[in-house]
Amino acid sequence: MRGGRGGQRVTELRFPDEPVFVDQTLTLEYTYGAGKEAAHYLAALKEGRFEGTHCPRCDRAYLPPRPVCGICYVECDGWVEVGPEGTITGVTVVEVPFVDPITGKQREVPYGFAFIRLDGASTNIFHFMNETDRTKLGVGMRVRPRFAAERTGSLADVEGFELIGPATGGEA
Amino acid sequence: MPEVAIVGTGQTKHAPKRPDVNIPEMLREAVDRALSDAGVTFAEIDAVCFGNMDLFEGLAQNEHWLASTFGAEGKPLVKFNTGGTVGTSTAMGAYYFAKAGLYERVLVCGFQKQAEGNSQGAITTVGDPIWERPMMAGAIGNHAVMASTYAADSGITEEQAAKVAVKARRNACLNSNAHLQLPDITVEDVLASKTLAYPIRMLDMCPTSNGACAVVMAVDGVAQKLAARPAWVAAVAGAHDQTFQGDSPKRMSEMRSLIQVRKKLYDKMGITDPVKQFDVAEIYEPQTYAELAMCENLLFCPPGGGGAFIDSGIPYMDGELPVNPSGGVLSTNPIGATALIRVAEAAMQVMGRAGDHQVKPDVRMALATGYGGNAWTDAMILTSERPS
Amino acid sequence: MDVAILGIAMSDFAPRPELPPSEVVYPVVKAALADAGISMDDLESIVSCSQDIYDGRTISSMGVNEVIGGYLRSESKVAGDGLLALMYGAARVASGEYDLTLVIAHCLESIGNPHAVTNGSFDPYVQRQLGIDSTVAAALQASAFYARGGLGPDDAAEVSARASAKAVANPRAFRSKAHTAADVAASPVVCGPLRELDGTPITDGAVALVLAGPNRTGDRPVWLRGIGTTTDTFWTDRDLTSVDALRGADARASKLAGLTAADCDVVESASRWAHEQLMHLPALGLDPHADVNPSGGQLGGCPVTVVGLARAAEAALLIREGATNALAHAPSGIANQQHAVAYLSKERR
Repeated sequence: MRGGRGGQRVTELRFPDEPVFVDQTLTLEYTYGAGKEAAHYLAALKEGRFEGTHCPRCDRAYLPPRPVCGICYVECDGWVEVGPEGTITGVTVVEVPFVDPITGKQREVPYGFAFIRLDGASTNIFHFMNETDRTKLGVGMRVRPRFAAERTGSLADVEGFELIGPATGGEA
Repeated sequence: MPEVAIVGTGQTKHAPKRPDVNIPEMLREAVDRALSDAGVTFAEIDAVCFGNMDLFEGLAQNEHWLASTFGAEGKPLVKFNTGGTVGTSTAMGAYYFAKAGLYERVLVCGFQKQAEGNSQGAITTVGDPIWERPMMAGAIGNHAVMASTYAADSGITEEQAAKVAVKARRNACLNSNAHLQLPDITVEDVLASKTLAYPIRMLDMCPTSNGACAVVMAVDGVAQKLAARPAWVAAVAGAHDQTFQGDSPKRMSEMRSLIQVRKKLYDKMGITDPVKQFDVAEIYEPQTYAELAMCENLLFCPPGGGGAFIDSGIPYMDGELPVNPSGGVLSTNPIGATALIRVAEAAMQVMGRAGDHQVKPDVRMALATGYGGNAWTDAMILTSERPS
Repeated sequence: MDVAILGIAMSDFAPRPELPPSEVVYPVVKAALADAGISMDDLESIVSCSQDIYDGRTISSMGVNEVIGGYLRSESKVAGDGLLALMYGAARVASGEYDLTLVIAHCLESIGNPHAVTNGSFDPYVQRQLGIDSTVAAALQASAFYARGGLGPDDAAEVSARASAKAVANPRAFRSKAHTAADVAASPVVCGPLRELDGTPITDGAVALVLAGPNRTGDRPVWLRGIGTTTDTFWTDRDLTSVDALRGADARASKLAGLTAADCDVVESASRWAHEQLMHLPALGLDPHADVNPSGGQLGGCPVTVVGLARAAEAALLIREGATNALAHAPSGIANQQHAVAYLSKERR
């Protein structure tokens, strides 16, 4: 399987004193198809509503929306309005810098970040909280969305979530 | 269909960086050590299974570029690429190939050289491009949120989580291959370390490592000629969760994929009292809270009992069920190899080759788990007795 | 090897950049289950096949996880050609641990930049900086092959023309217009000696097979008699005209199957560029201009990664329609470093 014939033999291999590094940038550009659920979801979002896809067998409502309930392996049969308010199910205040994958820029820290179960939804979405004092944030607290002043039918129409009251004490 | 055993393992000394070797050289170190440990040459290997997250080093289809590194010229080669679970997925792949009677001796290997790529940038692409990336907060943000859900469910304290960090880095001191070895680390050190995203502090999180791991698997009849005490693959299982990060209602305290895997393995092996029946466990714990949540899901302790479990002393090196005597993922995490390291470490324990971190002379049953993706789980049970 | 193909489904192959992977894959999985006469409840084992750099997503199986039945099931992703995933799926069944396994391959060639994507698999220290991509490597291979004498660009043009005629008759294939050898010779040079019509159009798609062990084969099984793969050295370490890896893969598959290419009334052999077929067929013991690929083959339009599984699927469909034995082949890697071959048959060994 190997080709070539031997050249002149090197009797002594000399390595440089300093390691050699090769710098490279691999630029990969993609155009991701959003799919048919996205069109419906974003249209509802533009109108200030959250909707999830519904499984006719287990009655779950899914955000993000999806064509198939993976638990039942049954096609979702339509849309259910959920929220707009919800409950925090997990929360943190992020203090380490992170490069935002969409803008390519470092996100300013600190920022609040949470899993949120919108009322009526069976899954959690995650989003930013405008609170950065972690002692004021906790699992079980009630939240509502902050919509952008001008909505265009994109996920950016929701800027984040804000607290509306203390923890419900109910199931997280 | 023949039973299959691990007959040799090899690892690099995992490190924050490895400027002294390039990628093929680093991977080759582990491969050479595994072949030597198994007492086989490249010529005797029938097939290679390789796992790695190429994008982390900005590579693609790198199994072909690396074919000569693991002696795959003229041989079958299959590449796996499943995220954090890649090491166990690759080992499972090799197991099924051997069990199917296709090959008698299979080399399994994986690596990650994270200092040389933008692994954070690549890991970001794990998020769905439409639904998740606009709001992602990186692995640490995610881990922190998950840990907060577990803390709320279980009542676990920061100190109890910190004990896990201490156990790991002290255990690592007995593992010559481990990356993060901190002999004098205390709970206070952990609590004083920088908060990355509450409740996760710097010392609660796994490091990013550069390293490689390899194991040699052989079938019944061949294995016994290669190793005095092969580590037999007695049971294998894998399961996924749903699609998105927030889909699981109780992602850590009721890790659905791990529960599914546990049921299958424990059923098959008749495990009713895991603390008694397992001699050692090498589980894939990306952070301290996760280790305790996983112990709950594995029924090492009752639901909500993770804090009491670490307080009890059971999972320590001298306890009834040592968990991660190698130092675990908290001490060493070259992602493409990490889950394979769990398998290798469990095998080393069964084979009696774990050196200073050998938990006891006669390890009869060891558990190895892999974790990754969106709360996915793989697991293998290795035994000193060949399954009948 | 006692494994049967119970269910077969393929998408059309065409660029559909507006669809996310889940929408490309779900209809194919649904159709494969229906074709097999099973439901997802019957399955516990899944082998997926995709390449992260094409999907633009690390762990690209996550994008299709739920629609392939991943929830609580054992699924692993093989990152390579679909025939390798088929081999793994077959091993899971042949091991005795699973009665059924779903094998599902997908690829979205149209959403990224093929030049950047294929550049990614070259040596990062000394090759990528040249801006080299898989087309350049294929051109170097074609050039070396033609220099050996005997077969030349006109022969490749004929291969391409024949493939296009068959593709037109295949509703799944992308090419809808047949072209002549003269059309090929007049088409623009892409990278000499390769011309545009020597190659394969960019497409997206998915293929799924349901594999079964002998206890669950249903009434019209197609037997997967043997499957094998062999890898050569990296492209700059070998003679690019060598097809040793294909011979090796064929020998492995043939030994398990008890069949050779000569026994097959159907041969589905993938080539991304027409000259490759002139190299591959003699390695299988066939004439370089043998009449193969009734589907139109890869040249008719079929994405990488999926292509090997699509060859097996097309072959399996023809066996259901009356063929006796079939060979499915696909290479992968720069200048076809690795090859996989499968033998399918109406008859169990």
